[in-house]
Amino acid sequence: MKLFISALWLFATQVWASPQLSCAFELNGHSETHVFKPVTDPYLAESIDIGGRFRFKAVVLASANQVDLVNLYVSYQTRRQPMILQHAKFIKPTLQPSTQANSLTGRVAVYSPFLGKELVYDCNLVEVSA
Amino acid sequence: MKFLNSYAFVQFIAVWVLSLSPLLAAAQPSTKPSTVSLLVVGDMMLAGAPGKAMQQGRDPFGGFSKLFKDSDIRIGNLECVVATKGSEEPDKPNTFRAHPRSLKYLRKYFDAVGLANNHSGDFGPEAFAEMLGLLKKSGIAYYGAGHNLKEAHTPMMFERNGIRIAILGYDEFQPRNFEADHDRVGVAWSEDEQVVRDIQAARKEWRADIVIPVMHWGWEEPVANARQRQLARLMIDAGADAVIGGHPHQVQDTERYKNKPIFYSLGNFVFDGFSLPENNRGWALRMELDKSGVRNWQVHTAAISSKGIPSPTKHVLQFDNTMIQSFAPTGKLRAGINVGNPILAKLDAVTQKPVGVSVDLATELAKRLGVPVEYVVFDAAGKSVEALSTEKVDIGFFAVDPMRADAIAFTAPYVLIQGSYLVHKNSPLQRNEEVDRPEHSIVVGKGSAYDLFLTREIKQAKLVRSPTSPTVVEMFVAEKHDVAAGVKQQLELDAKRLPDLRLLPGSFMVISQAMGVPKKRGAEAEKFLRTFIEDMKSSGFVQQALERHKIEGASIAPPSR
Repeated sequence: MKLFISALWLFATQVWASPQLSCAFELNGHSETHVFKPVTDPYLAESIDIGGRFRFKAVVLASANQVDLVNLYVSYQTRRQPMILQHAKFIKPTLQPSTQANSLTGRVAVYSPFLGKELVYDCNLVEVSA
Repeated sequence: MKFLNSYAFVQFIAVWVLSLSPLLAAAQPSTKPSTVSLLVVGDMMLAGAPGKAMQQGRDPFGGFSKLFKDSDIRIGNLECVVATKGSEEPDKPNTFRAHPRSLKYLRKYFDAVGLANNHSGDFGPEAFAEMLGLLKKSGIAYYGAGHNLKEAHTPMMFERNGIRIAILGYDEFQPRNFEADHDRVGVAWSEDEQVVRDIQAARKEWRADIVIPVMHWGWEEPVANARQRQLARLMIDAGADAVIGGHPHQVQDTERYKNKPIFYSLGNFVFDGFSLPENNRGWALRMELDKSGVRNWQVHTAAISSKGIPSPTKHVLQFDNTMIQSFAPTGKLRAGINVGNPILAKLDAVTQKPVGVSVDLATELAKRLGVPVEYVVFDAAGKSVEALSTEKVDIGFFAVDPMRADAIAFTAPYVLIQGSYLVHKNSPLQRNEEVDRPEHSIVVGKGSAYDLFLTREIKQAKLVRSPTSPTVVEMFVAEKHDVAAGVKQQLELDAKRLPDLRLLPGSFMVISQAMGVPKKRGAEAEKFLRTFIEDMKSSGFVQQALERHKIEGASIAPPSR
């Protein structure tokens, strides 16, 4: 019976749990959180606007129940075009057991070339029920 | 029943015929597999002087029209934006925007242009978007860029003679600010995982027989760096059939990995503003492809004028696996380097490695063949000749002499070296013609070109042979001979170094220094080497090598007819 329950639990986690990247941002005293779900085509992942100053893109590539790759891109939004500030790559990252645990990225601060505006972000890669 | 019998009979006949079909197919004369020729040229900047030339009605590609016409697919790197709109990128040192009139010439010669480079964004997204529209309107395809990231990573597909060819393009030279996004025009950036994904998708989803990524990478150096090599190998491991690069504004080395060619940089093709010779020549690369990959390739060297316009030189190098095997049967090019003649090579005082013109030529040949080079050092010409004659080395550098021509095929000479006589200051000898008398002894390096020449020409004087050319003067002084024979430049140095010595005016011979390959390697190898050395002379490579090594007393041989 125990074996059956274990198998059922395993099946349930395999079927219904899925990874997602949850990122908290701080800019100009404001906070916001965005969630990025795995994509199969990295070229269709969308960048998001942060406070009209920064662009952030997270590309989470996953196969089966494993995250293969996470790419994070931070750009500063000039009037002309976004200017990339940072690209971080995580190959086969480990899922965090909870959002309270150490995050994937740690607390990262990036600064704009003009006025030195500070964007702080912190991303967690966690499993959630689908 | 009758029907069933008839049906069974038909089935029997069908099976019998089918069973014979392999035999029938085998009996057919074998047909040559379909091939496609792909012409790839390097960096094209159509603003500046080339832009003015087009404004005046001059066709910048006209010199190569036959090569373009004779190729099935023609592509090149468009290193500028073609537009009327946009504004210059602030603080960027070089920004290029060509007039749309250039499209007339691009359309005439090119099937597609590569846009993944560090100048596509010079005038911003508006100009770039305008260019995408203009190219489409002109019927010119593009790769490595697009209206969005998805398009930028989509291969440009060609189908010719039943062969499907995918061309991908990537930039990885700063700035990265003009990379496409889901909602932005721009170029494809070469992130390793994405490059692998694209190559695999070209095979699986686009059903490409041939996949060729074209890179914009590297620094302005003659040899590819570690990152270029790592990425090229990754691409071939992922399934690429060849890798072609640009951006360094000069030709970089060629390499073969898993028997697939990597051309790290083709150099410039249409580009002005460069003063160095290496920036003003580039390669037009014509590859012959079949469904299994690159069968062979030709390198057509372009000489680029001060106005940035290319003209073909007459030197076309034809490469295939047979040629590479001819020069490097052991997998590397073993170059015999004679350090007995300091004009051509010597051992570096610090590293004790050979340096000099012949070393540079061997390195360049290996670069073009895409094989590693090994320098096999000899202290006398005779030993070097012996090694090449017995195929212990693959190429050598010698004075042309009929005595050596039995086993060695010579190129035309690349440098001419004067041979002179050195005498004691109080010697009665004043002219070269006075040397060949019975009472005179002449010291000469054993087996050197001077030895061979003097052995034939000297009728009365006595020849005394020192073990090597550098020991000639030592023996001449120690044993008090009448004359020392050797390289004029070396003897001049000796005359300055040692007291009571002087050179006779002029020279007793001019040595034609050439490259050689064993005759057993075949006529095609001989032809290849002859073409190579002509290219090295006409491109300024030999002159630069002489200057780099501070060699005086040698002149560049005239072009071979």
